[in-house]
Amino acid sequence: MNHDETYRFDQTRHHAAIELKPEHIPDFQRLVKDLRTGSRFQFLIAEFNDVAYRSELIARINDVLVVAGLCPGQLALETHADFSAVETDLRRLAVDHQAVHILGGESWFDAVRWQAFNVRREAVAQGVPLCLIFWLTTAPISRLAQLAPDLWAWRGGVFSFSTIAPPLREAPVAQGGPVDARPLAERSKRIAVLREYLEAEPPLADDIRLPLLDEMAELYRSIGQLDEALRIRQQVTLPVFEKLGDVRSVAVTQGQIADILQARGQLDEALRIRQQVNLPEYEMLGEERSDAICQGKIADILQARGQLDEALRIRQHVELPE
Amino acid sequence: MAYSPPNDILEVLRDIEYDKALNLDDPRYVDTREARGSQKTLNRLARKFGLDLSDGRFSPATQRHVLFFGHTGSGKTTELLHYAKDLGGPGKYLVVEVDITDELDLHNVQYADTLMAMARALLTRLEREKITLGNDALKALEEWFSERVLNSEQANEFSAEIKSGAEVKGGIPYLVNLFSRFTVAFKTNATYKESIRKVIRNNFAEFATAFNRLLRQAEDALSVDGKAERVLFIIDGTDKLRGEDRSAFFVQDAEQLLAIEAHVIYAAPLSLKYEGNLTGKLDADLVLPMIKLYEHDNSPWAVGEQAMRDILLRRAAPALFASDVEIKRIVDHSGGHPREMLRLLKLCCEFAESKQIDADTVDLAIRQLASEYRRFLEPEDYALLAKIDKDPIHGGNDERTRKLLYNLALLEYNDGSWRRSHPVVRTLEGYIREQQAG
Repeated sequence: MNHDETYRFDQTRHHAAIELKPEHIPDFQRLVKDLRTGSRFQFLIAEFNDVAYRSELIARINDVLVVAGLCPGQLALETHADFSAVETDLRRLAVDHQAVHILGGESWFDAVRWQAFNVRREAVAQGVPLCLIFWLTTAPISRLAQLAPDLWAWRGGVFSFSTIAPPLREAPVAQGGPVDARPLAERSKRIAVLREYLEAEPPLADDIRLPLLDEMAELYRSIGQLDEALRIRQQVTLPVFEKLGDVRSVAVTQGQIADILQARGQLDEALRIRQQVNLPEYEMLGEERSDAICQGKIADILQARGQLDEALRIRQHVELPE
Repeated sequence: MAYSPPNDILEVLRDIEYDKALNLDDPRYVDTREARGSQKTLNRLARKFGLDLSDGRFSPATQRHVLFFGHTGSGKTTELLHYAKDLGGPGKYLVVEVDITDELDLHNVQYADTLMAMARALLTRLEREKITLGNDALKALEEWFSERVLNSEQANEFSAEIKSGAEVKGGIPYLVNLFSRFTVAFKTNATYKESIRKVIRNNFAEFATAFNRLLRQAEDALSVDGKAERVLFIIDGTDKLRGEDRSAFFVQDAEQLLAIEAHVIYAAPLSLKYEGNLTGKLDADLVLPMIKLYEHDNSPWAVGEQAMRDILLRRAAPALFASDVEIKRIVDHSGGHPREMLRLLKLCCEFAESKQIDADTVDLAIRQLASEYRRFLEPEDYALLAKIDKDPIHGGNDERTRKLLYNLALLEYNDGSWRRSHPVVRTLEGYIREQQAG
């Protein structure tokens, strides 16, 4: 497997999973991994109970597949008279698709149609080189397992995306530190957990919400989603700290905004914040260490802009002595 | 170049395919006879066909129809392919394999279709082996064709097509061509299928006589050429027949199968063995044993564990596992069922977010597989499984037990002498509760 392609695929699937419900992320990741990497024919079962959410999932799965160079398709069962008609359509789709979402099975499949699929399964596997994702609600999946156990034994995987209202959960405790060693999969799942909790009604008190927002913004930054990290810092946390009159947190947040701008290459704006906002604030607060770090970051920007003399002066006369 | 298993998790995932049996020369094949105790099974199978594998003595009966049972996905096809090597050859059998999943439309397979496929496979094989038959060997079959099929009003459309299309008018190639047209029609042509079957049913006794004559003369010719003494058919795919088709094939129409004086092995689903309605003339006591990891008294069976480890490590390089503990847990939770172990391995590859399969990943895989069993198990199933585990030499064959055997929640070992629940099922709360209650 090409290492770069795999890396890109991993990035895409973890980013795509962020907006999902946290409990569905492992199954989403498994499913897209199977679709991209597994054998050319697969009989996959995806459980759902919310049509709108299923549509969102399908869109996200398709986004990931397209990045992986695969062409996804869709087939609605209700327009088909029998399984033979379905098979004909699948053969047609197999010409220029690699994966097909099959919808409507919860009302279309009865014992006879499951049996018809069951007896044709070898022929389908041979003649239809596709990953077939059957979107079904819970009861039809159990019926499939009972009515056609040998077809069930053929399943390539079962993936659960049911959205049962979860019981009230305890507030997640803010995690992470200056160096976040969590793997990408864990970070994207954590974002989903935080997002779901932060969006829940009623809104959380600021003292619970702000550390979680801080962690979420940092997670977004760490996985390269700088726009979202910047939005949280600029539009959500900064106004709250300003309203609260928390000068130190305002200074820290401004510094974090400057970090993001710097990472995006917006050096002028980053320099302006550090020189005109951060430095005066740290001086006012008497935070010498923060001041020195800020000076170092100013030197980084100047160095990147080719202003080496000024960068050297800061490093030698400001940063070092402190 | 020597085979080495994939050492990348994505490559392992890519190569797992449940729908394909391993070919004879596949480097991932592991000889599991000792682990299954199935060398004994092969010896028994050979003796049923008059062959003593220990000394090569060969004294076959006129005919023998043997059902070869096994759990879904337990490796019947792969094992039969390997058995064929031991049963075939000079002084033994010419093994003719017929896979009805390839040859026929599995939906609505009947004995007539299968017999036509057998005839075609035999004739094709004789042609390939360059066996020359006397004219009278084929005469009866050719006459049956021309008098009963080609002149039949019921099959006139089919006959017209054959008459116009046949280029060769005699000998093995002619018959191969005719039988091929039968099997193609059975597979693809709904219009002719019933009318042809009716013709065969109405004239079956004559067909059986003609086919038997062909078989005897073919066997004589094989013997003269020193290639084999008798013909043995291995019919694979019949274990995949469903519902009414299965009953019709193995129960209602068994007499027609038995009218062919041949040596035949049919793959059969394990649940059929316990339905109790098979005719006594079908030999129905041979089961492909599962690979047992433990004896029924729970003492470890090292040979079985080693075989399962070998299977696993030909699919995934040892370096992919964080430690030996993970390998052992996957093997243990497979219950000795190769496909279930591959399912666990696949789940591990899906869940793994690093380059290795660690303890957490194996946990997730076991929990996921268990949750798939929970979807169809009923409270009464847990009670029965807990009861059987308490008394593994449990003789019950009621419908619930058969269903559990069919869907692999219950696994059978030592030719069916004892049974135990699937290890992942034992992790489910419903099972644990029943076990504690008992």
